[in-house]
Amino acid sequence: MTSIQRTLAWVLIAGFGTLLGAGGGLIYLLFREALIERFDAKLRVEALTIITYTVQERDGVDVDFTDRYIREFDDDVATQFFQVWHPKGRTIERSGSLKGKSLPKPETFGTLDKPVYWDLRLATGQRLRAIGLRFVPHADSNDRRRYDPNLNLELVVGALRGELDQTLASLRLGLLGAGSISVAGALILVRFALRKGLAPLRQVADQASAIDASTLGTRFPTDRLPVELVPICSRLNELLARLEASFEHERRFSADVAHELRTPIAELRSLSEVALKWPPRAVEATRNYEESLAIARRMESLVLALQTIARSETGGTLVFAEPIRLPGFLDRVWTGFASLADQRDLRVEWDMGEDLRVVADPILLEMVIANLFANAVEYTPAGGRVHVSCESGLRDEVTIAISNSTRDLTPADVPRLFERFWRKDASRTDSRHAGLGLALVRAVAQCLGARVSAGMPGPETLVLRLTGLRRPAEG
Amino acid sequence: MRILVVEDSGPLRRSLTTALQHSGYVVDATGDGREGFWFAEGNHYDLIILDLMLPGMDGLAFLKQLRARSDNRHVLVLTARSAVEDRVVGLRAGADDYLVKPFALEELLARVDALCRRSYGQKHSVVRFADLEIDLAGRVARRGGQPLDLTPREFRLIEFLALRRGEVVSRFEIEQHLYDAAADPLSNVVESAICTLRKKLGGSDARPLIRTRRGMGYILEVE
Repeated sequence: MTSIQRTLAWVLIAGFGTLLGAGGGLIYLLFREALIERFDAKLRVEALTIITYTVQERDGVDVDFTDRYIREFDDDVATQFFQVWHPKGRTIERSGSLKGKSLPKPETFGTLDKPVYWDLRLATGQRLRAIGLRFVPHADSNDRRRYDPNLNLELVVGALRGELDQTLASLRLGLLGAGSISVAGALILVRFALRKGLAPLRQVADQASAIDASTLGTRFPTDRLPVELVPICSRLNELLARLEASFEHERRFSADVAHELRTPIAELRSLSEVALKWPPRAVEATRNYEESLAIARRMESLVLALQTIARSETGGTLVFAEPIRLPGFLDRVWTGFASLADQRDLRVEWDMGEDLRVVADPILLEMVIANLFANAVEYTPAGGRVHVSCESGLRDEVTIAISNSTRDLTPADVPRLFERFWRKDASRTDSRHAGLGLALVRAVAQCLGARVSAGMPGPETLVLRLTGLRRPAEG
Repeated sequence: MRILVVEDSGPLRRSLTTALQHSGYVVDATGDGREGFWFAEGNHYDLIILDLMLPGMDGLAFLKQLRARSDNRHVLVLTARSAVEDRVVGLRAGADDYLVKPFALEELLARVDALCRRSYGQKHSVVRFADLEIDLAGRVARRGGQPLDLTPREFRLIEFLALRRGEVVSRFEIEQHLYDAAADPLSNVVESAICTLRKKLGGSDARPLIRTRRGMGYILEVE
């Protein structure tokens, strides 16, 4: 599993190490160049000294230089060496430090202005840095006639590199040591910085891992968070709020279902227990059976309504749309409620307008309309008014509105009308209603591609509107 | 013992009434909260079995109003609300016991029995007076160790007198306790029941236990 802290630590340490190595290497090279340059400059000075003492005389070339002038060329000290060759190859002069041996020549000699420098190794194994050049020795001041301007003598001056190499080795060791300490320090610093820098992330992770279904009310505090984490925690808080609402909805729904089933189960249980303990007479037994059947039917309708709502909400309902002529359709659905409306002395008004048609699934539409009619007929006070109307709106949409008079509803109740199991009267006296009718209407209306809404245009009038039904295409 | 059942579910109300009547209680039942409160105001009940979600008057409002009048009659709340907070609300409103639907009938009857006994400060289910022994749970009465052949109403009468032993119990109280709201207040059912009970209690040489205080009522005492 990847870890931000580990990845950052590796990248930072590797990056720091690389930069440190490159920097150290550069410093070493610059120092090395400077030291060698100084070394070469010293060699050049030594070479110029020897050239200064080299003179063309009557009987040839004389190198008027003794090792005593510069002790390093002496065979006692023997840290510097030189040898001068005639163009024809014979040695004109060599330092005592060579002890009669010769210095190796370079592949090509330089000039006084541009001498060559190179490293070489003596037969003794000693490493030297050397300068090689050709020069014309100056004339004897007393006898200028002997001067040959084309006499190019070859000169090699070398010096032991030991001190230089030691200095360079110390520099390398110093840089390596400093680099190692820096990397180790950086490792500790990076770990500390990452631990401190990632602490808020770890806190958020700890808080997040402590959240379960029972603590969905938890929110991540964003006021003290680093700005990088604020958007993440804000989104997480929004997600938690949605989850909490969803869980609460499901919890309430489960509690409602359990609550709705408790009373009918208690009824069935008590009927059975009483009948077993005190066997009833035939008439009472028949009544018990009838009551049991009514309770079972009520529970069945509750379960069916819940199933229909669940299926509609999850899009599991098959929809077979076909053209429907609304006046005839509504009239047919109304026949199931006409008798009850008469019994309750309701005044029913119809406003069908034109002969409207819609394209919808007739079974689902009947389910919606029947529930709306049932709602109007059963909840309208006796002697009240029910008004059914259809109208065509914009974009070929048709609206069916059913309004009825009401006494106990208030505008505050309207938003709750479509909640599952909501009833104005909390008691379950009217056992025919589980408070699922309008929730079912809304879910099924969604399947039809329509919407259902409620409103109270007046203090004692409730209007339920089914909108968004489509008219058939022209022609 | 007289019990008021206020439950809006018809089948449940009828089952409860049947079970309680068979268990020897006098039961008045209604499905409306307001009517139930009216019953409670006008009658003496040893126990009120109360649903919470009621038409007319909510069960909690019923309970609060009852307690606001310093009415300490025992109330058993019977409801589908099962959450702990619902129980707490019910008990804090003044309920003496809380039973969640669905319930076992035996449990309900046991709780009813316990609450009714508590109405008379009786913790044990057996009441002893002289050589009379009344097993309230087993619904059996014995005198001198011999079981008495009593009808349910006669048993309730001797039980009522025994629970209030040493006190004069008026004819009206007995009538209230033994007969439901449908009984005719002008009839002599109480005198008739006392007479029958005396015969069954003192059939042999036993000393009379039920004495009449003229103009006041009856008392269970030994001479």
